[in-house]
Amino acid sequence: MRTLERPRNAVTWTALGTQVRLVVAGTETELDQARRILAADLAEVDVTCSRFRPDSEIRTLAAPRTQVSSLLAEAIAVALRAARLTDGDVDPTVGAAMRGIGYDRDYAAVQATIQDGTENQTITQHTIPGWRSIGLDGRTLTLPSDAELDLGATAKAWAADRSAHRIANHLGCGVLVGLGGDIAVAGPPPEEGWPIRVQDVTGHPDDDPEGPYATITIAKGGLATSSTAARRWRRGGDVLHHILDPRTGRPAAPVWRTVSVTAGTCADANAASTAAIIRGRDAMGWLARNCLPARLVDVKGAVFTVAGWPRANERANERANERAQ
Amino acid sequence: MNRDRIGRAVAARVRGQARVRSATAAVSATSVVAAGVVALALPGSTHAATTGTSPTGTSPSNTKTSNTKTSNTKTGSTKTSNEDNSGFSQSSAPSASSGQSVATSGGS
Repeated sequence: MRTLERPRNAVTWTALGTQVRLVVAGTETELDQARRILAADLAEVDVTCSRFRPDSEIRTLAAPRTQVSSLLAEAIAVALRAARLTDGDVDPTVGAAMRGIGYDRDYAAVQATIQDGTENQTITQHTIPGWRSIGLDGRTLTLPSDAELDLGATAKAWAADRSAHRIANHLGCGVLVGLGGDIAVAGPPPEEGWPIRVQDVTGHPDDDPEGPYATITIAKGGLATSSTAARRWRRGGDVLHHILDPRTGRPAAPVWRTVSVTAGTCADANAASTAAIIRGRDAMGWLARNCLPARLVDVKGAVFTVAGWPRANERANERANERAQ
Repeated sequence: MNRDRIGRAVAARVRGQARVRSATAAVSATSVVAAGVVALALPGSTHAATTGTSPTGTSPSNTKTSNTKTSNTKTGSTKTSNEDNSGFSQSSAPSASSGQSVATSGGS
């Protein structure tokens, strides 16, 4: 194993509307190569899966049956797996409902119209067809006419898994890919593992976090954090966030503001952390039953841990606690 | 007569003690079995699965095993956990670190 050297082997930029963090346990040359692979991968995922791009493949899907690219088929398969594992808490057919609550553009654009006062204040309720209404057989996708796919809940985590393994296989070094709160690691890890700070909102590791936070290490698999403290906006007098409960078509009730989960893949960790936000008070038992180490922060900032997640190193910046309530 | 009564009483006492010992042994055996059943039914993993019930961290150990059924309180569905808990891929639990983090994981 090679010892992780910092900071020359880490780089941060923006793609898919979120922060990209790439770290390699290797040389600067390997970092450059890894960055090129990741940038190309993310561009491909964006033009395939983004519901905010009019030219994306997912925007061109036609009911009731259509052939999709192998990349989109893979992304949809991951979304359907997440739906199955979570008993439908994470549902890829919430696209119309997302539009209904105003999340119909990149989040930065949503914020901009709110700030300049041109935001539509109407909330429209949409029926959610449900993940069982769509089918995928190889690259053949069947879906009802009212199904509007939104892979936002799973695509970033899957993309992190995919690229981390592609880079590790190509370069033979350890790699960490972080897309927002979704982190995948692959290849030989540094001796001390990958130290990662979990917090309410993803930021640069050199910046001070707000709210409760803790630093943990993982050596393989994935870590995902879902939070209602990020991507929040006000519409029609309501404070909304981007994690929808498919059973109501509305943002999940405010029980947990942040849930972090580790699993064998980032995609599974993400499915579980998102479902935990939606499940509310039932989440802790559900995570424990599924043997998923997790850290949950309630709306008041109290921290709970499940299934072997370490409780050491918990810290807090109380300013964020006050804002989150 | 008194000696007979005393003899019968002693014999009855001995039989009673034997029944009590037998019942105690049976109850103990049943308890072990019951404890095993409870352990099988409890959620969590074999490696220090914990459930925090308060912010101060009450963390009873749980044991997970195969082929037990758990109910989903939200959906009412029942699933068999011999799929290693409905198919989520597993990883070893993270460990605490005091080192400088190389990345952060939060909402985005």
